[in-house]
Amino acid sequence: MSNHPHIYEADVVVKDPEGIHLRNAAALVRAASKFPKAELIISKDGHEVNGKSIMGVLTLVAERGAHLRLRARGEEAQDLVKILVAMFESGTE
Amino acid sequence: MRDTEIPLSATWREGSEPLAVNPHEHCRMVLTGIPGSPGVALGPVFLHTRKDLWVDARSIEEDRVEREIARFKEAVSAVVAEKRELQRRAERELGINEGQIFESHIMLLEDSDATAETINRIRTERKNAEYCYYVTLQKVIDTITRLETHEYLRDRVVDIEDIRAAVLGKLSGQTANGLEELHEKSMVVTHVLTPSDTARMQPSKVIGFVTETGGPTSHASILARSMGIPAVVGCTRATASVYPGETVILNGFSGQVYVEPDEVLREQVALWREEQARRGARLDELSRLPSQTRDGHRVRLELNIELPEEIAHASICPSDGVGLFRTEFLFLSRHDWPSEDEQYAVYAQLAGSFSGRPVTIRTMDIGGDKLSKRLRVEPEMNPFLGWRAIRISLAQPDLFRVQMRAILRASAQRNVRLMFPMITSLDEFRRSLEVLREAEHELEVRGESYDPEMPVGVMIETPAAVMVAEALAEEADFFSIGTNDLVQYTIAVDRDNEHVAELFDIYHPAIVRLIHATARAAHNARIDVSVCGEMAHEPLATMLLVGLGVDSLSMAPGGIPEIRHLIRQFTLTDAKEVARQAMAKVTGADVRAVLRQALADLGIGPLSELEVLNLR
Repeated sequence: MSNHPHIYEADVVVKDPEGIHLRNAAALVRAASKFPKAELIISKDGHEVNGKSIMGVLTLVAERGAHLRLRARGEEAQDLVKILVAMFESGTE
Repeated sequence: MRDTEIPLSATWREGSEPLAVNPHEHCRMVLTGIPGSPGVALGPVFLHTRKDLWVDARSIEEDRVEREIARFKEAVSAVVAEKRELQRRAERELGINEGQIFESHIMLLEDSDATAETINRIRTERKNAEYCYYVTLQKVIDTITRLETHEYLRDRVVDIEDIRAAVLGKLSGQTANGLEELHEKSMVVTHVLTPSDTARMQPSKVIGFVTETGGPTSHASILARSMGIPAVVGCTRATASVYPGETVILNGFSGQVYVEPDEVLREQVALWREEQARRGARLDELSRLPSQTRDGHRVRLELNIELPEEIAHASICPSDGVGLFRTEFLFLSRHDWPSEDEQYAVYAQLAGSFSGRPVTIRTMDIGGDKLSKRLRVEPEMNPFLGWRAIRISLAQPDLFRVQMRAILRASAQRNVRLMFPMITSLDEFRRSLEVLREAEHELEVRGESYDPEMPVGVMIETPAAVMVAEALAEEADFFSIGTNDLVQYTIAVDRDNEHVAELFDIYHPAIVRLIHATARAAHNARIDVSVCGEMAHEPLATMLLVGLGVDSLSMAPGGIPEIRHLIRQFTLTDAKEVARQAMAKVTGADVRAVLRQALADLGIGPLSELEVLNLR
C-alpha cells in the first residue's frame, strides 16, 4: 500500500431504524468488496472491525443513531469512502 | 451395636462448616444449577449445541493439520454450494427478494476473517476443524449478544448459528449424532439429555452431566446417580457459557460448575478424591455387615439398573439383588424392535450375574419423557397422561409377548421377577397377565423352559393404583412403589419443569399416606412391598419407609452403603414410632421436621462429613 499512503476517513451515523442488521451489513460488505485493492476499517467507540467482513460488521452492534468512523486506504480508497458515505446518508446502508 | 469405628456427627448434610475457598475467585466463571447427582468431576467439555450438534475438542497430529484445513474448506464450499442452490430455487419460485437471505448466508460462510481465524486456530492450537470453527463463530456471537440491548440482536445471531450448524454437520458427517462419538473422557454439557441420547452413549467416556433443564429426578440425574457420576441440572445458559474442550469442575453437591478452574480449585478436587479413597476402605468394611435394624429386622437393599453396561459392576456391589431393571434402553437405542433373542441375551446376562439373588425386570416403560420416534409415538399435549408404558405394551400384544418370552426364558435361572409399570387398574394387570400366559404357552409349544412360579408384581405409581391396592394385592406377588411417578401424579407436578420442580415433595403428607396404604394392603395379603424411586436412597426418608412397613429399598449402587449404615443405627420400634408421628402431620415441612428430630434424638449422623467439596 506504499503507493497510497493516504488514509481517507469519514464519520457517519446509522439511520436505519433497526440499526445494522444482516441484510444491510451484507449490502455494505458487498459494496466494499467492489474495491478489492482498498482496505476498510470501521470503528465504533474504539471497537475496530474489518469492513469487508460481514461478521466483523455485525459485531459492531450498531443501533440507529450510532456513530461510526470509516477509514480506508489503498487504491480507490477515496471512492470507497464516498460510496459508503452516500449509502449511510440515504439510510439504505 | 453401633458402627463406632465410623465417625458420627450430629449435623445432617446442611450446616457443614463455612469453608476456606471461594470458587468465584478461582475460575473463569461459576454456573449455578440444581444438584442432580452427588460427586465431583474434572474434565473437558463435550458440548451439545443448538441444532442437535455435538462438538468436542480433539487434538490432531502435526502432519494432519493441512488435511484438517482442507477438510474445513471443503465443508464450507459444500455448504456454500447448497445455499446457492437454495438461493436459485427461492429466486425462481418466490422472487428475487426471497433469495437475499441465502446471499447473506453465503457471505457469512465466505467471511474472510472467520475463515482465516479458523485456519489459524487449526494451525496454532492443533485442534479439529469442528472445534476451531465453533469457537471462532462463538466469539462473534458472544460479542454481538454481550450487549443484549435489543431483543432483535438474538435474531442476528440466529443466522450465524444456522450456517455454523450447517458447516459442523458437513464436517462430522450425516450420521454423527452425539454421545457415541466421544474420543476422550468428557463432561457432557447439553440443553436436555434424552434417553435416546444416552442409549447410544459409551458410559466409560462420560464423567459428568450438565443440563440446562430438569430437576433432581430428571433422566440426567437418575442416570448419573446410577452411573456414580456427578450431575448438575437446571443450569440455565450452560451451553452458551462454556466452550467445547474447556476444563470444568462439576460440583454435584452444590449444583455448581466451575469453568476453567485454577490450581487452587483443582487442588480441592484432589483432596476430595483422597478423602473418597479413604472413605472407600471404611465402606468395604461396612458392606460385609447385614442391613438390619438394631433389633434384627432385615431390610433388603437392592439395585436399580438402567443400562446393560452397569450389570457387571453392579453384580459385585454388595446388595440383595436387583429391585428395578429398566428395559427402555433396548427400545431406545435402535430403529426397530429388539428381537426376542437380543432381549433374552441381556436378561439372561442379568440373571446369571446375580445368580442366587432376585432380579426384578420391569417391562418397557417408554412414553412421557421417554417418548420415542421409533415407536411412532406421536408428541402429545399431555405425555404423562397419554400413551405410555403398559398402555403401549397392551396395545401391541404381539410385541409385548416378544418381551415376555425373552424374560420368561431368562427366568429358567429361577431368580427372575417380572413387574409391570404404570398399572392404574385391576383390569390392566389382568390383561397383562393374560399376555404373559399366552407367552408361556408359546414357549411350551416350542419346548423352551421357564420358571412357572416367576413372581409377577405391580408398580404402584398412581393414586389410582393405591386406591385399589387391596384388590391388586390379591392377584400380585409383590408391589414396588415408584415414588417419582407417584409424587408427580399425586401432586400434579412435572418434575422436569424447573418452575414447579420445587413443589415435587416426597415428604408431602399425601405421599406418606399413600405409601402407608400401599404397605398395609400388601401386608394384609402377605406380599412384599419395595420402594424403587429416588426416595429409597434419601437418608432422611429411611426410618419413615422402614417404619411404614417397606420391606426393601432399591437404589443406585452408590446409595447403598449410607442407607445400610443408617438402618443399622435404629430399631424397628424407633422407625414405627417415627412413621406414626409422620402420619399425623399435615405439611411436608412438619414431616421433615419429625424425621430430622428423630435422627438427632438417636444421634444418627451421615456416613462421612467429607462428602462435600471443601468450598464456600
